[in-house]
Amino acid sequence: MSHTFTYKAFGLIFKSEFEIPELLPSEGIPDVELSLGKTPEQLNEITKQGVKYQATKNEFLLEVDHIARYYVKDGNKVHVELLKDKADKEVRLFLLGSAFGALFLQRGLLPIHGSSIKFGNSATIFTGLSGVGKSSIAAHFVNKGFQALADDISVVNHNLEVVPGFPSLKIWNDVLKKLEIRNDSLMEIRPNIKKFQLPIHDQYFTESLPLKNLVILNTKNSPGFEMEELTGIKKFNAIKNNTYRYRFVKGLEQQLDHFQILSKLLPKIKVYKVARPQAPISLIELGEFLQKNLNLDV
Amino acid sequence: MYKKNIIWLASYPKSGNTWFRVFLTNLLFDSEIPANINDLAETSISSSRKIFDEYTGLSSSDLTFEEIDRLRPDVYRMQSMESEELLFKKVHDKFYWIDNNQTLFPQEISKGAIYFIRNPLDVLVSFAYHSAKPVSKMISSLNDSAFAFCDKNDKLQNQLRQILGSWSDHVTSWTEQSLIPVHVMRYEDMINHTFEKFKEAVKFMGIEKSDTQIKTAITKSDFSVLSSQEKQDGFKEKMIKSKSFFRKGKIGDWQNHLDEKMTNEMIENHKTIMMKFGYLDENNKPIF
Repeated sequence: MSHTFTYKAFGLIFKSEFEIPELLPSEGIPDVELSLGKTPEQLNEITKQGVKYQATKNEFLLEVDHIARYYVKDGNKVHVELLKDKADKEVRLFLLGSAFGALFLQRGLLPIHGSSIKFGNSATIFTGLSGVGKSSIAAHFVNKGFQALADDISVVNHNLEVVPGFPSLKIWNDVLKKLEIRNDSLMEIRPNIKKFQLPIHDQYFTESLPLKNLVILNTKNSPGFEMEELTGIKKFNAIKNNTYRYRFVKGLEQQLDHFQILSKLLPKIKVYKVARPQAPISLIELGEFLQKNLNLDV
Repeated sequence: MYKKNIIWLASYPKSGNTWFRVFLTNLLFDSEIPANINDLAETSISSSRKIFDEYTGLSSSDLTFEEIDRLRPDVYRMQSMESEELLFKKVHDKFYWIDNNQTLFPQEISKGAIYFIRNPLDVLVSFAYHSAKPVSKMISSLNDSAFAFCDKNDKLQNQLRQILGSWSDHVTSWTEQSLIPVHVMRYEDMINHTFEKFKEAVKFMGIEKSDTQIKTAITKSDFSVLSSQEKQDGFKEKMIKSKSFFRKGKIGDWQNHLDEKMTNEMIENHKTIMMKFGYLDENNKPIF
């Protein structure tokens, strides 16, 4: 392949055989190489298996039907076998999601399932179950003029900093409407799914920041907001349970690294559980509650 | 290589499923005090997004409804494979074939299904209350062959999409399929003959428990216990708009809420199935 592309994302330099317009161009010595071509169909000595993935100590293989197969090895190689004609946005969606998640775990990093926003000189991660509003609250804060570091996967490095991911958020149509953002010029993440790639340009913060707060969002079926600061084993479990694709950790035999980074991180950060009324979600009220109770400011 | 170790607890909403799940929890765990209604396992909900994402390694929010449906049987197969014990899974989906020649709930891992059925007139009233919707609107839902939960594609909903179809479709889909052995429980019989009916279900599931153990579990799952637990701590499966999940649970409460037109419309729509399960007499008059 004559031409290659170089990007910086999640604190790593990627050299790629195919274009990934979601990531910021960069230069430098690559940490990770992305290539196209055949992947193994099956791994040997599997330590953990899911419906669509297999893992060994240093390998990870994920298949997304009709899209691609992703083979991640030694924390520095990602091999993509296309199951469709080109490396389009659908191929990149699962690359930047589950495949990168496995890559980070192979490198002993701590990927948290959630978005992160810069408040003052530190980062706050919003995590919680799928559908709880992790990206939505990030979009709300970006809309208010704050800067975001990442959406969906927030990576914490060995210096206990959140590293910037890439400059866009994935936002569902109902939330765009709430935020009065038009979707005409936005790209759907996939055909038939009304979730859009929202570029955040200037409101993307490009430097790593120390992690200060981890906010676990959840819902309740009564009015009003509730907040609880977690300590001890609850705090530990909260981070563990919100690790991106935690079931991969075991397959990659990264429990020890994972445990070590968690133990280092625990005394440095505050962990809160914040419950909001189930529906409808009021981003303005949730945003105000979080800012007031956690002292989150510019 | 597959183990038949899953029991599907299937029903249209508001038909006694949760009551039975609480009973089962009390029966299996056999603790001193009644099981907490908020401790019914998350893993036991077959439309859980969390479980799907964990087992597939993918975000269900990045997949279409059809893609999710094609993967759901494998998620259940894997849960079945990983478990040495019987697994109980609450289901509101109707029983159906997904496009590549398999059913959503695979035969080879299914020990059986308990299907809970309740007089649709009472279901209607209870469901309307719980969804905070007018009864007239709910009648259309019970009659809608495309009725589904969490089926919007412009926002992320808390569970996977569940296709229910109309009330009659739902009953037919489960009770007339022949791949998975099904044991039908009428809500009215569960109320009127609790011990006998619960004992039959326990036997169907192949669980060895004495009469005393069954009776104790029934007492611990009494409506008053569930209702007072909810009053004290709330119940997480309640929808935000409704006041309480455990409301009355009464037989024939529809008579206090439906006018003649509404009743006739329901009977007209669901006559065949109502008749088949003993909810209408030969003159098309409601029995309960």
